[in-house]
Amino acid sequence: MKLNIIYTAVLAATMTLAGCGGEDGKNGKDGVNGTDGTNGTNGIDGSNGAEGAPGLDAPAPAVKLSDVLSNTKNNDWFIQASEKVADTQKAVDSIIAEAGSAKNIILFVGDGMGVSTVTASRILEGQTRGMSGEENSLSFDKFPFAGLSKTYNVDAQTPDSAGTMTAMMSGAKTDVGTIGVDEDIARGDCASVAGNELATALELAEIAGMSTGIISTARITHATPAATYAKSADRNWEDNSDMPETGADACEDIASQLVNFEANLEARHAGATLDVDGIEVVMGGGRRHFLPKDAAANSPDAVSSTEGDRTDGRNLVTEWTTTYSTESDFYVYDQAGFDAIDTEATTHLFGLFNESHMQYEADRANDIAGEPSLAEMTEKAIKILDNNENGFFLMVESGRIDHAHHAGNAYNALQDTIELSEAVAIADELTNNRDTLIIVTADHGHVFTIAGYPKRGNPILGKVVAVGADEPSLASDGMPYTTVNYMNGRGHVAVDPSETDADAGYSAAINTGRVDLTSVDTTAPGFHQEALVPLSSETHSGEDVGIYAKGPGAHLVTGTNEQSIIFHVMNHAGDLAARANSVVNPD
Amino acid sequence: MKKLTSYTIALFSAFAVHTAFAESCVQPVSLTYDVSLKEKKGQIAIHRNGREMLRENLQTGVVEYWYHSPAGPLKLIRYVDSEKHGIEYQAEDFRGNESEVWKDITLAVPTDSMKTMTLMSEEGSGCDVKEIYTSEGGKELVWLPEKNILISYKAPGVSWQIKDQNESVFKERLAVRDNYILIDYADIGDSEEDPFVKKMIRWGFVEHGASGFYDEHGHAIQGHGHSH
Repeated sequence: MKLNIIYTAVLAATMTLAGCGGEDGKNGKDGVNGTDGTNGTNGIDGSNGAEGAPGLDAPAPAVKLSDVLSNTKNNDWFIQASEKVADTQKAVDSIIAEAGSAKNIILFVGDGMGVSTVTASRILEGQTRGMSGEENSLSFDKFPFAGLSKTYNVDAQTPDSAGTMTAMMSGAKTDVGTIGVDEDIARGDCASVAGNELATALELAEIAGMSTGIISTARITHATPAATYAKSADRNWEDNSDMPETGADACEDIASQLVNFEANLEARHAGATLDVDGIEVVMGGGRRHFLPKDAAANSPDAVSSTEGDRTDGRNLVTEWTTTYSTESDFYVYDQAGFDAIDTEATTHLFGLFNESHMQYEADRANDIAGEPSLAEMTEKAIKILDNNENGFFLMVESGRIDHAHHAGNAYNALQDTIELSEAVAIADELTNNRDTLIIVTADHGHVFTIAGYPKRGNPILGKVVAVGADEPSLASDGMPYTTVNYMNGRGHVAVDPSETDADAGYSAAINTGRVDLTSVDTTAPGFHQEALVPLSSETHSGEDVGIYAKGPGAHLVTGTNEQSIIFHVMNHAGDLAARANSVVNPD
Repeated sequence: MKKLTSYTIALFSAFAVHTAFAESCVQPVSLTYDVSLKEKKGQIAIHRNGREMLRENLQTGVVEYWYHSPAGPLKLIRYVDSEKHGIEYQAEDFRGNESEVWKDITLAVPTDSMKTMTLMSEEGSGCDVKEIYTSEGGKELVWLPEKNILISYKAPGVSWQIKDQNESVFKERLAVRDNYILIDYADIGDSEEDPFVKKMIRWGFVEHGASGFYDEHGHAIQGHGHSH
């Protein structure tokens, strides 16, 4: 507002002075508009006034905008923001608006990565790099386009990952807890699935001849990745043992749908004699849902006596390796196997690195057989998928941001967000802005707050130290408090400060309310933040989340949107539905 | 965290001479104990089978399954019979100390003050060595160290007394819970609508119960010394 007032005054002065032209003779033609000022949209020079008559009163010199801003224009914040506007203008000028311009599409989903999580993570990353932190930018903070996503489910004010990811992947909001089906579904009712299935962006890409891939640090059958390939009346139907004993015979469990994806997609379009080649890259956790309940099927790094949960006797890993049995198809379960993959000689890659969810990034070194990081998996996937000249679709989920928040442990939530940022940066490096759409978003937020009045550069995981102070501020109860906290959850549970697994907190009793943190290192990995409302775990939140985008079609990410817009942006950028339809209906 | 770990360290520092008890003496076995804690009386059955064990509270139907992976980690599943559900835990809070914690779990001695006890007598030989420890304050512990079997433990307000010792029926007792629905602890936050999880939210999730006792709502009744 302040800038606008100054600017208006400048214009008024300019016009008044111009009005002092001579009274003899006709005014000349209006002059051409002046060049844009250096101060971006607020700095455009006003139009020149009408020319005065020659030889008479000479016009007084115009007041320069730069003069008025002389005390401002050398301000670093001012310059930085001005340059940002110039960069954005360049991005706008180079928008690729034509449908189908994106050869490749990459969707990154930070599960539970609400706006406060993004903010705190960028500060933590910056502070780790020796900065104050607030001025830092995560990789996707630098993307030219961003908007907001309204995350509610059709039947839920505060959503879950199943309904939200279905909206993002299929373009239609649906009910909480359901996967790849519309709102006419009855959760848990197998019979209601038929006729309510939704097509997904991954399926359209597959039909269109693109390579496809999914990555998650959660179980690959978990809600977010499942919504790329499965149709299920319940997100929990991850293997056959999770399904109702009666009434679900007509439904296929989620793990089975992943392994049978190629056959199922072809069968769904049987009349078109569709011939697809299956999902090229699948990496994540969740071996238990693919293996039979038989110790003989255990992986070498099993942590359970019997790793598999399946009670139908099927070994889906074996089934996958039978379906994809060429010399260029590989199943891997550990870091060594992952490292051995030659991306230029790989057609299909199936990696299941953990019995359940993969490890938190900060805890990854403790994995028995070793696991790749999210960034490593992203790099490997892109290098395999980009072997297809028709392009690729890749979904990458950082699934454990959500789990760390649920456990009430901000340290791991922020570290996993930073790792997601690293994965995005690598994807950006490996692809071309002219032909690759990259979208980064979240499915929902968490009740995670950044509060109090800490001074600039105060450790984001630390106690609030006020501007000008050296000691922590005290609340009215006489005790210090931390900047980041949770509205609900398990609270400050007793966990070893060095513990890097957020879930260790589930072994300790709920401890909500205020705690004397005077002698506690709140920046330690094992610290679990205070919470107000006691619950078995911290919950999702219902506010909007950010969408960050670059590449062809990214300009469509703007304003406040229903979450389902993400599918439509991807569909526009890749012309997915039209291309898939041309395959299914060639005439 | 690691209060149980600390307790374990204390326990086994007291019995350092037996920390490397002969593996051949430790056999699959089912043990039933009469247990009392304050006014509560009940029975706890422990079924051991190599790297697996079940600990059944015969009154409440809250059952712990423990597995000590050859790769190191301990895994815990806590079953609630009345709900035919279970929650799976990865016991990372014992990381680096799993072997000692495993011995503690299988022995199931509900105390955190063993380091203050004194060896009073020893009898028998080989696998049947029996030791009696006592301390001021009226504590007494009798065990078979080579077999890692507790015979009795008495302390103010607490009593464990072995009632039966039989061949292990671990597999049969585990099979009873074979078809229970399991929820990974990390998924509790995404399962708030699950009826079982809703009940557990009201009851409070069953925690590492030192006493082995839980009330009719699944609340752990804390033993002495290591509350969580």
